[in-house]
Amino acid sequence: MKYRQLDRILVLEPGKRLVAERTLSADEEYLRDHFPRFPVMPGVMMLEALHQAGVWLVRMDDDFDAALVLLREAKNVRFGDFLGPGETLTVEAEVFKREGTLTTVKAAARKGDRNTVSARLVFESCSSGDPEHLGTDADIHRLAREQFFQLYGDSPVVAAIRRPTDGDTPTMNPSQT
Amino acid sequence: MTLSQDEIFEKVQEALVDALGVDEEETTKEATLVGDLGAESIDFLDIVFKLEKAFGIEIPREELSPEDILTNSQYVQDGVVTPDGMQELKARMPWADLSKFEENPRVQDFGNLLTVGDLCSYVESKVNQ
Amino acid sequence: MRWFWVDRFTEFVSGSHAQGIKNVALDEEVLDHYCLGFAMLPPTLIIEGLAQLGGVLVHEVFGFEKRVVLAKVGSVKYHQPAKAGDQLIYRVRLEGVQERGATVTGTSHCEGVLQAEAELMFAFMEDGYLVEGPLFNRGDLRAMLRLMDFFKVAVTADGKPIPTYENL
Repeated sequence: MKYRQLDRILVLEPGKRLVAERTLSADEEYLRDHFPRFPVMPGVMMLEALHQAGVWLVRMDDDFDAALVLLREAKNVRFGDFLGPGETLTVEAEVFKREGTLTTVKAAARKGDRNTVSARLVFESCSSGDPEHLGTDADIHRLAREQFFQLYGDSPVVAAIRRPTDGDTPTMNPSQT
Repeated sequence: MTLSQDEIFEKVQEALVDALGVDEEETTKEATLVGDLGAESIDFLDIVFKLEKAFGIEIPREELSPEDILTNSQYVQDGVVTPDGMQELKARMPWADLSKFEENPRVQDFGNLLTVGDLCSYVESKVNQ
Repeated sequence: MRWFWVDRFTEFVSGSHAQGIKNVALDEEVLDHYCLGFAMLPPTLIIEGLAQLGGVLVHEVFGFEKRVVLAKVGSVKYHQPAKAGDQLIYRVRLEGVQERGATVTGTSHCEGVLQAEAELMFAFMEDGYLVEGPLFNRGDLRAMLRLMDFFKVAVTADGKPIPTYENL
């Protein structure tokens, strides 16, 4: 995933809480545009770190069986501080409430003891909407799990939730049928 | 336009719930914006915009944030507001209840002064002019 | 990867509103392996597109002198995802300007249907805070805006082309 915003996962309580890290590298290309005289992580990219934390938190819940986790709403997204090259964010997301297919997550990213961004995110667990015979939903669901273990599987907290049926190489030709 | 105190309170509550993401129940008249409701400096900008829109008033920055008084060496000594300074503050913010602050007027505590009720009094003074 | 989240300005009226286009393409880096099996634009980049349009709107009000940064997203709602092949029409409106910041509202439409809507707040960095001088080198922002057809469409409130800003 090129636009990956979480480097590693430190804490994972599926459906409850996730803590991860993201370090900004000086050679991330877009920094030349943001800004030429003051390279800092764009605010929405920090928000994307919160977003991805929320998505995995919802997806890796034991009961999760929908295909997609789509962001429906973000509220009170406050940017508190900048993140410069070489600096690290600790990203924390917590499930706040569930109402049917909607999950509200409270999330924040911290640099030291300061919040660089905080937000309330509302996710919807849903189908892709494709006709059933295409099998899109089952594919997306499986691929997402495989991607998660591919990206973060070497973290003990992630390895701990892996099921025997979870591959770690997302592929359109699954070995299990 | 003349609005009742209740109407003003309701609209102020709405603006705060929107801007701060707090529940309506939390926005009591005694709740402080910074301490109780978690307002940060960017939120004040948001709150001002929303109040201006809701009430059709203009809110000059120095009326709600008397930074110029709080950073003036004439009015502040060793981080404490002088009696002259207190007079200036009272003149600038006649709608605010500064009695508690006056007991121990440390500049660093000023930010946490403003309550929901103070905001309502301020709006009232602008709206019912 | 460039940090351009609007492809083109199609309308710009100083101090009022702006409109632009964002095309979502399958070969974009950010779509690559983002949501496997579902070629979706990361939703946060829609906020960035609106913020780029809105940020320029705010910036121009002050002759591109202030240092404008996105400080808060009051709220953003997504009605459907943006997928490869979609063309998003972004519209932003300047709602209010103050000494320390400005508010902008924005919408994203795809084929006439509302796809997303947002309320954005920009703050003006105080002089000397964190870095001295402007965020862009002289000419940087001009070059970016030129790529996006900004100068072809930007007009003042009475329809005349906007002034040449020497500092840009």
